[in-house]
Amino acid sequence: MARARRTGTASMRLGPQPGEVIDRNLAYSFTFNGAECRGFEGDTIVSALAAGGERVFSRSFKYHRPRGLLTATFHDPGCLLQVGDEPNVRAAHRKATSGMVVRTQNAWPSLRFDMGAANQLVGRFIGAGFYYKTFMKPQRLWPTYEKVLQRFASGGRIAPGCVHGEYDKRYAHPDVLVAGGGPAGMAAAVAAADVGADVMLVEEEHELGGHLRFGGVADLRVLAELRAAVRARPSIEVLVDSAVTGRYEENWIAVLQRGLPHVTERLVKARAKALVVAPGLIERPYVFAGNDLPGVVLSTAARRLVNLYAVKPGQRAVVFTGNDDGLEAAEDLGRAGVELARVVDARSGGELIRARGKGRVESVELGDGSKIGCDLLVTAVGWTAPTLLLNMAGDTPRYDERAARFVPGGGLPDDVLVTGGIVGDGPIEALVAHGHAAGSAAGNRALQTGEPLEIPLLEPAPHPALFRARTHGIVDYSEDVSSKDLIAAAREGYDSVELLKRYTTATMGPSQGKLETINTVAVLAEATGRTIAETGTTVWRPPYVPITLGALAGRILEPVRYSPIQPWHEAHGAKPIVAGQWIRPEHYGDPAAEVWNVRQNVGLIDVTPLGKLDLRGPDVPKLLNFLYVNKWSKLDVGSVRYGLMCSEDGVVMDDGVTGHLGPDHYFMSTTSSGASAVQEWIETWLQTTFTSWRVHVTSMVSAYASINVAGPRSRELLARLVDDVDLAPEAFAYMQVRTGTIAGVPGCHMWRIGFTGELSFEVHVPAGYGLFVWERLLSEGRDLGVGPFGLEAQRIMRLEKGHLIVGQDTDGVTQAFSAGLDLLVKLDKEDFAGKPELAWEHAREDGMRLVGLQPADANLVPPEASQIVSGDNMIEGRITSARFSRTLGRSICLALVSARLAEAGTSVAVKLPDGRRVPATVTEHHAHLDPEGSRLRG
Amino acid sequence: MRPPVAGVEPAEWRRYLYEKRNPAGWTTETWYHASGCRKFFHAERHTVTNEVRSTRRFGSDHVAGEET
Repeated sequence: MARARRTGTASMRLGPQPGEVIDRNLAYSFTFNGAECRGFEGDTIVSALAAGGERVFSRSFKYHRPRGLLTATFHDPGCLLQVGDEPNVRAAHRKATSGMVVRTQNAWPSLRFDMGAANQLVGRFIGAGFYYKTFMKPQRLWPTYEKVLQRFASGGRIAPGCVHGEYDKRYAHPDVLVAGGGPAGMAAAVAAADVGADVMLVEEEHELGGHLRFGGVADLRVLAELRAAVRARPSIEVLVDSAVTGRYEENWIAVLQRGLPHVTERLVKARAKALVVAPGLIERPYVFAGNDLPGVVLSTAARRLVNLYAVKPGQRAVVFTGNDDGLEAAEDLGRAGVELARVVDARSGGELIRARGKGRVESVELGDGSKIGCDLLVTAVGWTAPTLLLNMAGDTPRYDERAARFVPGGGLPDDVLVTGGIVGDGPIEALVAHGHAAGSAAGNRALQTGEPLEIPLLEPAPHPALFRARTHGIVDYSEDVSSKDLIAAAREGYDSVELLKRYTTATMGPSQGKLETINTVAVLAEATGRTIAETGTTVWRPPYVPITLGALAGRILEPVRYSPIQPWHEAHGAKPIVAGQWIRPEHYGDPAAEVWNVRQNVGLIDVTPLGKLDLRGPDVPKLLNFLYVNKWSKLDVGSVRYGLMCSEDGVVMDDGVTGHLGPDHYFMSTTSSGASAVQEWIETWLQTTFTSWRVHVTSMVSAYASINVAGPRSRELLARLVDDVDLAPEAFAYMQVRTGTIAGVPGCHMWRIGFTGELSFEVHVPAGYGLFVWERLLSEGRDLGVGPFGLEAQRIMRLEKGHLIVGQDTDGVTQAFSAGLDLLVKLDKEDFAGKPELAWEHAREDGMRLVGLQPADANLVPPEASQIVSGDNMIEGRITSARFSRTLGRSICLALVSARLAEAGTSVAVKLPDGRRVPATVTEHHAHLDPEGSRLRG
Repeated sequence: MRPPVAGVEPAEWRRYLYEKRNPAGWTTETWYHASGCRKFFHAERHTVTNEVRSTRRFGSDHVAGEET
C-alpha cells in the first residue's frame, strides 16, 4: 500500500486542453481498490485513475505480468476492471461516476504483490497450447485444474445476489444505417439525410468524431462543423456509446446500445435499406521485448490521454513511429510538458529493440545501440482495418502490401457501401468528400432515387510494414501469447492461421483480435516464410463487441395473457404463476386443503388457457382420425373422446379431449401450452397435404372462459344454475358434452370429463360472462362447501389419478408407447401422423416407459428429475412428477424408467440430489387413486 | 413428400423426416405466414442471394407438401 500512495499522489492532470471532454466544474470521488480517487465529469475510469498517477490496472492472464493502459479505448486489454458487482468492465471506455467502487480483478492477493507473477519465472514451460498439453491428464484432476485456472483467470467475480438490470430490445427501420461516427461516417449521414433518407448513425464511443476528437485545432474545427451539420438534420438519429455488432442477411443489423437511462443495454435490431460501413482504423501494437510493460502505449492512446482527458501520460518519452500520426502524438506530448527523450522514425531507418523495466518501462534500447531512460514509450506502427461488417456482407478484404494493411476487396453488394479510413487515407477533406459521396449513394440506393454517383477515389497511403522488432514480445495481450509461442506452434505444425489461433488462443481473448490479428498473421507469415497475403487472415466474426446475455434475451416482446376471471383471483389472494404466456393462480393459500375440498365437496378451477379449437366441416372426422393415434370415425353427437397426438416421429405432442357438438361441428381442447402449436400443426396438414378436405379451424381460446367444476358435489352445484340441460347421470354420462344455459348465460358448453379424477364438469362460458358465472357458482354453492382451487391442487390431483402432462411426464423423445398409452394407439388404423414410427416402437419393446412409482418411505417426496439408477450406478430413468398426496397419506410419483424395470412391483433405486439412494416400487397403474375411475363416473 | 405409410421402410421414412435437401442455389420451399394470415405458400428462393423468384399457393390439385 505504501507504494500505491507514492504513485497515486502524483497528479498527472494537465491544464485545460482545447478538445478536452471533461468538465472541471463537476468533480467527484470514487474508490479504486479501496483508496479514494478523484475524477471529473467526462472521465473514463482509467483516465481518472491515470490522472491520479495510477499506471497498473490489471495482471495478465497467464504470466500475471502487470498491465497498464495500451489503447485507452473500449478494446484496451489491460483495463478490464470490476465495478461494484459487475465484472469485466471496459474501464478505459466506461465513464467513472461518483461513488463508484472499482477493483482490479485477477490480481490476487494484490495488484502490486502478485503471487501469480511467479509464473513468469516458469514462463518457458507455459508455452503454446499449454492447456492442451498440461491440463489434459490425468482426467481425475480436472476439478483441481479448473479451480486453479479460475483463480488465475481474469474473470472478475460474479456476485450471486447482484441486482439485475433491465434489458431492452428495439426494432428500427432506417433507410440508411451508418456504422461509425468519425468524419466520413458523419459526412455520409449528412449526405444521406440530404437526399431524403432517414438515417441511423451509430458510434462506439461516447461522442461523434472519431480521430478528430483527439486531433489538433484544425481537426477540432472540422469536427465542430460536422457535428453541427448532423445536429441540424432531424432525420439523423445518433446512437453513441453503441456498437454495430453484426450485419446479417439483407442488412439486418444488430446494434448494441449502452449508457441509456434505466436500461443496462438495449439491442437494436435494424433493417436498413442501405448500410454505410465507416469503422475507421484501429491502431496496431508493435511486437518487441517488453511491449506489455506499463508505460508502453499506442500513439492514439497518448493523444487521447492528453487531448481528451488532459492527462499527462508520463514524464519522459521515447516515440517510435512509422507514420505522421506518431509525430503528431510527439507534438502533443511536447505541448503537454512531457520531455521527449527521442523520436525514432522507422521511415528513416530508426529501430526499436526492446523496453526494459521492473513493473513499468524504465528504459528503451534502440537499433543504434543507445539505451534511453524513460517512463513512457509511444509506438505508432500502423493500422488494422476492422473488416467485420465487410466480411459479413460477403466481401473478402485484400491485403495491400504497400499500405501494410487490409483494404476492402470490392465484393460488396449494392446496398452496402464503405467509406473512411478503412478505404484509404488522405487529408480530412478527402475523407469527408468520400463519406459524403458514399452517403449520397446510400441514400439514393435506399430511396431508389437519383443517378448513380461517382465516388471519389480514396487510396491507402504507403506505410512501412512494422510488425515485429528483432526481439520477441507479446502478440495477444488478453491471452498472454507471445511471438515466440506462435513461432513454436507453427513449428509444431500449426501453420494455418485458423489452427494456430485455436491452438494458442491468440486473438481469442476479450479484445477478439482487434489488436492482435494482423500481428499474429505477420508472425506466422514470418515463421513459415510466406507473405501476409498468402497467409491470409482469420475471418472476423460477430459480435464486434461482447453482448451480455441480458441484451440478447432482452425484454420479451410477448403478450401476457389473463383470464377474464383474473380480477377475482387477485382479490382473493391467488399466488400467481407464469404458465407460458398466461398468468394463472397457483393456489389461494393452501393447495393441500384445496385438494381435500375437491375430493370431499366441490371446487372450481379457472382453466381458460386451455387450447380450444372450433372445427367445422364434413371432413373433420377424417382430420381427427389422422391427427390422433386413436380411432375417431364413430363419435356420436354429444360424445367426447380423449385423444393423443404424436408428431411424425412418433413423439407425444399433445393431448386433450374433442367433442362432437353437432352436425359437422367438433370442438377440440388441447393443452394450454400446446394450443398454438396444435393449431399450426392442423393448418399444416390441411393446407399442404389434405388440401381437398373441407375443414375450418378457428381458435376459441379467448372466446370462452373455462371453468372446471370438480368434486362429488359438482353436479348438485351446477344443477342449481342450469335448467335446460338434464345433468342426471343417465342423461349426461361421463365423456359426454352438452350445450346449454348457465346462470342465464346461453351458449355454454358443458363437458363431463375430469383431469382431477373426480366427478366434474368443464364449462366453456362466453368470455365476457366468465367472471359472472364464476362468481355465481361460488355464491350458489356456499352451502356445498365450494371453493376455488389452483394449478398446484390440480397437479396433485391429476398425479393421484396418474394423468400425464405432456412435456412434464414426457420429453422431446418420448413416443406414445413409452408414455404408457399402449391401449390408445390403434396400429390397425390405415394411417395417422406418426404411425410408422409407433409401429416400430411397438415392435422394439425397448426404450423408456412411464410408470407410477411410490417411494418406500411414504413421507419422502423425491425432487422432480431425480435419477433412477441401477446397482452399478447406470441411469435407468428419472422421476417426472412427484408430490405428497394427503388423500393417500403418502408420496406419489410418475417416472420414466427403462422398459425392463416397468413391471408392476419392480423395486428401483431413486438417487436424490444429496447422493442418497432410496427404494421405490413401480405401481400397477399410473393412477395411485381410484384406478377404476368410479369417482369419475359417479 | 410424405411417403405412403403402408409398408414404408425405416430408411425411407427417416429420409422424409430428417433429410432435407439444402442446395446452394434455387430451391422450392414451403413458407408459413405465422404472425399474419396463417397461409402456407411455396416460394422459389435462391439460398445464396436470397432472391425470391416466384411464390404460389398450394392449389386444391396439389396433393402433398414438397420439401417442407
